[in-house]
Amino acid sequence: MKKIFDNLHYLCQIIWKFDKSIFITFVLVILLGAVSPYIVVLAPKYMLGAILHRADAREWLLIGLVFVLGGLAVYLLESVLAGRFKGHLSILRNGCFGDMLTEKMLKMKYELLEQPEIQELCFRANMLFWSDFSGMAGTFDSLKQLLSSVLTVVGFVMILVGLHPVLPLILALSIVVNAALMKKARNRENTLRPALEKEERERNYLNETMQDVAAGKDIRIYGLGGWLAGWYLRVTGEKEQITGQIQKEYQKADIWAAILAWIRDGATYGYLIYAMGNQMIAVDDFVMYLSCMTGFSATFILIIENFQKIRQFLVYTEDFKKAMELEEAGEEDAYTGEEPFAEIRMENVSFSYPGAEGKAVSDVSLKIRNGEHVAIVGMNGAGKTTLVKLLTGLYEPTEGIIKICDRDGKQIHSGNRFQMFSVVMQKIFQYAFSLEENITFTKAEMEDMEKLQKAIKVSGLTEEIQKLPEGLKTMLRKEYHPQGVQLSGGQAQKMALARAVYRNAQAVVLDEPTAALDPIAEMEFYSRFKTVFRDKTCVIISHRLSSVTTCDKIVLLDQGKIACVGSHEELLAGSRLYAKMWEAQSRPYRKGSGEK
Amino acid sequence: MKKYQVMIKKIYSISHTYFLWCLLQAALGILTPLVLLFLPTLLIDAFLQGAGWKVLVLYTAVCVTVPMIAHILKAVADRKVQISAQKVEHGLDHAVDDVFIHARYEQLEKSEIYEKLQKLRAGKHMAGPVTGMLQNQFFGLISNVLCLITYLSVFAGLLFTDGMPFSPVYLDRPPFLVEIIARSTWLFLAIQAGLCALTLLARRKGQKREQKIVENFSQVERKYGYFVRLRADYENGADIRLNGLYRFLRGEIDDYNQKERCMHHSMERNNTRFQTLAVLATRLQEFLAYGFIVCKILYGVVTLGGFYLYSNAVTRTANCITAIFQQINDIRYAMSYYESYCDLWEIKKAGDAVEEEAEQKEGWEEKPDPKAEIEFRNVSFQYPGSDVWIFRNFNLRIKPGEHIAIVGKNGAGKSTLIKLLMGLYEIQEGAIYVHGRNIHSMKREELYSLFGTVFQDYRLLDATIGSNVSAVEEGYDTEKVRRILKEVGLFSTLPEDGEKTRIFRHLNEDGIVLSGGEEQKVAIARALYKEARYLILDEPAASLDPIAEKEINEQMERLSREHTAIIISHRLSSCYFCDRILVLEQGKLLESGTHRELLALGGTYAEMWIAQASHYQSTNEQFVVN
Repeated sequence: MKKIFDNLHYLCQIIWKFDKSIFITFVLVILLGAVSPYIVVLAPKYMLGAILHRADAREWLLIGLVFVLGGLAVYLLESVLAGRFKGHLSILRNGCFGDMLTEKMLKMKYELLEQPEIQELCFRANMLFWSDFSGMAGTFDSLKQLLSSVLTVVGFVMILVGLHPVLPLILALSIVVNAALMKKARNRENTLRPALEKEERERNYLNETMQDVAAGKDIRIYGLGGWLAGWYLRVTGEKEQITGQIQKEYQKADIWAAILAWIRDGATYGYLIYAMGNQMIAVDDFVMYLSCMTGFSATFILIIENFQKIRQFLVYTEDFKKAMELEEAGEEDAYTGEEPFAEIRMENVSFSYPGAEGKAVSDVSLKIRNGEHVAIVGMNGAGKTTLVKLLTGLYEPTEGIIKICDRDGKQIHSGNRFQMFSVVMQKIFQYAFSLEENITFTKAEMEDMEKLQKAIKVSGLTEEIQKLPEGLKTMLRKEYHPQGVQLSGGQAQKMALARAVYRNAQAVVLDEPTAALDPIAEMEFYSRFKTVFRDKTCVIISHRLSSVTTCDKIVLLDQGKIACVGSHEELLAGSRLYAKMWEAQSRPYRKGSGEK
Repeated sequence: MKKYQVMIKKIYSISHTYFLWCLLQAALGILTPLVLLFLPTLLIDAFLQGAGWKVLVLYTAVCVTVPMIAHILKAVADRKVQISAQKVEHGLDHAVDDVFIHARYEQLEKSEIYEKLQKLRAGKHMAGPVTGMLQNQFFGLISNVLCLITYLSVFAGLLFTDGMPFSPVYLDRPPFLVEIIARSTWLFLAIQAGLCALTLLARRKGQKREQKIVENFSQVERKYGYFVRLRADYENGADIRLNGLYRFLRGEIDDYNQKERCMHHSMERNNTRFQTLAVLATRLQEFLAYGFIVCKILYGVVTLGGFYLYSNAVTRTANCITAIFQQINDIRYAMSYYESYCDLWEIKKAGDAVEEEAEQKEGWEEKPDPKAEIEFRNVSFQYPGSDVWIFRNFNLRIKPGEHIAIVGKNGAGKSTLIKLLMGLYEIQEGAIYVHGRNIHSMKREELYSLFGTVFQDYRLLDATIGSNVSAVEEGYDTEKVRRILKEVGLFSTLPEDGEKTRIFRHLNEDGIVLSGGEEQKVAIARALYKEARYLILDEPAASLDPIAEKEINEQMERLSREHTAIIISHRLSSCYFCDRILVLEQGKLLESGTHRELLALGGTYAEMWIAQASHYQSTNEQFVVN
């Protein structure tokens, strides 16, 4: 119960900050919603009364006017305000909560975002505002009904007290017993829920796997379909069994509730008949009290239903709250990004992934001078990519310090930190924007055309653009634009190069940029790269040692540590591992060429 | 209408009893309200007529006992409905899986199927689950229609009172107005019907406008959906941060928020206009009904109990009509998403038909080259929905036991070629023969069984290594799995329980996480375990370090000895030892021959080789390594 209030309070705080006027609408809607049931209860009473004591025309007119005008006013206002309230909730979903999460996910520390648990958390947080019918919107919609219903019930109770003071007590008692019955069933559900969720996760995984087009090839060639289908049936069978157990509890509670209602209604209706039989009440009162009682039961069910809904809808609030508490990267903002940095120094830098035991990078000290070309090589899992992520500021070192022109990297605002680097990764993302926006990452009107033209020219995109239907304005990605274009691997690579040139950062980082390129495209890429970025600081990760031999400095990583630093020649002479790698890779070529 | 039928049939096949329980649930749901409508009427009349205690107690007892029995039975029905509903949901999801597992592969890559799937997933959020729609809307509609019929017949009963003479119960002499109204039930019913129509019209129009607003907005919303996906993908996350895409996205999102706000405002205006009209009509209806019944009572042709009956029936009729209208709309709306189920099943059926047709076409006139193990004869192919020929009159023969390497620039059609061979796409012209048979006339399973393939984007499952390698959950040959794991050099790096180790951690906390190279080795082990006739590797070393690459190259040289093998690679070091190297360019076989022949030829292959080998050679002259 306390949890529900806490969560509601949390949501209200956020909404209060966003738009206070929502609460005015909220209160008015609740009040109007509470009033309308009285019209249904009271109108028949007054009309019957008028018939019974033979009212004159003037009295009839009065009754008519009050109910017609009053009713109209209430219902009309309610309908208008309910529409407005619904609109408010919809705007809150994306405009307020969605925005908060987007902001958080774009700004949170990258090492957090990368963790599966955090992604799962964000996914659940997303559920808070995903739909109009559940989560936050569902909560407030149900809360509106719940509060209205409570007010209505209070009114009914007050009317019923007039008949006999004990009647409301009986009704209240039945509420308490009912709640206790439901609680037992819910407790059972809560104990079984983790198991249910686990089955559901497995089921989702299986659905996603089976419905994945890329996996479809393996499924066919290896006949995995039978296995997956059997697995699915087993999981769903288990899940259905657990659901059966839970439903049995609810059924039990429901049957007891029926018996309870029978006793309650028997007593109250019985008393009503008794009162009418003994001339204690007239027929008009009888009708009113009867409406009150049936209205009471119906409204009471609404209260319970809405309460349960709220409890259910609020589940994701916890996740949202947790997501909002995730740490964001970089606070300080002093560096203007203007000065060219002289050098990067890593001093005893170590990094371990959150929750992991070992260090991915341990005790690395490295100096990269301005304009130097540095290659990072090593086996799979040696920590190359981690090192680059540390360098660019995606990760913060767990130990040690990274100095960029004598300033602690942590002190530099992450935005500015990123601004210092142009990064070309192995996987090049094509965004569903126009090609020029994909290069500049600014709105078309704010682009620096001169810079853009230069970037296109040096990256060799000019010819490619001529081939595209709408040149620079061509939208990328077929899924989002009917006339969209998917760039080929080579084209995308050139686009990535153009991005890096346009960005004009002080340092360029390449992470396996050519793994998927054919030999000739690869050669072209490197020759282009070397002329364009001759004077920039460059860091290159590559498995193909042939592409790094000309670098000023090669860093050999082994199990997170620097094994050796030096030029290609120095490493060949000085490091067994490097020599072994070189031999492994070059032998076929020497052999193949030797046979010529 | 046909789609509704298909859906209902499918659901019936998943759970035979589901509809029955739903029906029972709905029937029990309307029983109580009906009892509570009629019995108090009887009770009031009995009381006013001075009936004895016995009658009153009996009525009261019925009044509370019938609802109790209904309630208990409904509790049972509720449980049954809940359970079978879950079964139906699971079954429907699985019916989609079924399409994806069993449809012809080329169908899967059509954007159409992807759109349908997206629509289904969106439907779950926008319209709720299918069973929810059935229980609340479909069966709710049935109960509402039944109730409406009941209420209407109650009103129709009033027609008989038109001819009755005035009786002075509450008035000595009826005023003129009362008499007129009390005697014109027809007019009353006509006005009511007119107001009903007006309400419906207003709501309908409002809804149509709303749909239009939503439709206009859907383009914008799709874009927003894209941003949501962007922010959720951690791979994009790195890109977004490094490229400073934040500001750009921020701008786009602000823009969206602005548009969404406008959309909601116009929705609200629309709602206010038409809702107001509908509310006015409904209230007028109710007021007229009260007035009419009061006149009837004053005229003395309807009892006081009747007042209870008719006044309640009026309110309920209005609610019923609103609900019916809403439910029909909701069903239509939900079906606009859920008809995608039918479309998906339809797509699969179309594929099955192609297959059956192919199987019946036995006895192809042309016979394959008897010396070739694999033959492409005049093959032409374009991707479904595209009019660009990827291959045009393509010919290729592969001898038994031959090791083939396919090289070529990005986009030359290398991966497409092996997909054609495996029958993943249907060719438009020509024929592909495998082991003396035209693949077009082979059963897909039979064809697939011939290949052990490591795709570029291979997929391993969240299960034990043994299951992954053997592609069955249980009952694999442990010895064989171990032998192969040793062969690919993975066994020694595994924890103690070897092949029983689970990989990945989505589902199980105790799973281990393999590196890219290790995963690749599992995928290769799977291809080897299959002992298929042909071994196919698509870029097996793309993300491997030099040592792992060398290991795999050596293994390939050794392991593929028993097979006819095809390797696609950008790294020519993985290719040069093959019996024959094919150079593809834009769907044409540019060069074909051994490494030495091609180097001598001095064409594209030689150019590629020099591009890659030059660095290794130039330094080789200066340094001697071990």
